[in-house]
Amino acid sequence: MAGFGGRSATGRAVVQLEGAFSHIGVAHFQSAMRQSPAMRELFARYNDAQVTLVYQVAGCNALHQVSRRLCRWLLQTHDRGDGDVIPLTHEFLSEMLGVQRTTVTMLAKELQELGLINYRRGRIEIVDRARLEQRACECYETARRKIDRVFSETAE
Amino acid sequence: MPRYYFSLANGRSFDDVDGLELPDVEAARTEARGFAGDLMRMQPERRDWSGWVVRVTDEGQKPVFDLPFPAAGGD
Repeated sequence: MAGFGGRSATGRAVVQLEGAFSHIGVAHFQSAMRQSPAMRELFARYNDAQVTLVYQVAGCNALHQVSRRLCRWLLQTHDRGDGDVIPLTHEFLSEMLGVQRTTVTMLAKELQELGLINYRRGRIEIVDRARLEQRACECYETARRKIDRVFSETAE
Repeated sequence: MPRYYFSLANGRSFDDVDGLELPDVEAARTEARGFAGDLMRMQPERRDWSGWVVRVTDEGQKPVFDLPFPAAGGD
C-alpha cells in the first residue's frame, strides 16, 4: 500500500489471475486522497483488512496442515476469478505452501480422489465447493467474513 | 529437459503420472529428498519411516533411483 505516506512499495506484487487492472501514479493517488474523505476511508479500511489477513496467514502458515491450506488457496482463488478452473501453477502453490511440487501433486490427487476437485496435468478444477470449504482451515471463512465486512460497511 | 516421475513405493500410495521436467538427476534427487521431507513433516506423529521409499523413474518408466526415507524420523 504505497501512496498513503511513503512513495515506494516495500514488496513486489505478483498477479496470479488475469483480469482488468487500473493503475495510478503516486502523486495523482495522493491528490485524490486529499480531496476525497470517502476514498481515504475506503483505502484505510482496505489497508486494515490487509494487515489483518497478513497476521492471519502468518499464523495459518505456522499452525495449519498443508492440505487444509491448499484448500484455502483454491477457495480464495475461486472467489476472485471467473469459472471453476483454478489458474494457479504448481510452481506458485509449492512456493506458497512451502512444499515440493511433487507434494502439491500428491495433495491435489488426494482431493481428486475425494471428489472435491478435478485434477489433470497440473490443471485444477473445483468440483464440490461446499466440501472443499469443510476441508479448508477456518482461516478461509474468517478471512472472507473480514473482507465482506470491509465492503459492506463502506457501502452504507 | 528430461521428465522424472516420483512415486511412493511403500506406505501412502501415490503414483505421479504427470512428472516434472528437471535439468538432471541431481535436481530429481533434490526433489525426491524434499518430497520425503514434506511427508515426514506432514505426519510428525509417525516415528518409524523404515520401508518408505521415493521411487524415481524416467520417461521410459525405467527406474532412475530409489530414495529411502531416513529411518528414524528427523530432517
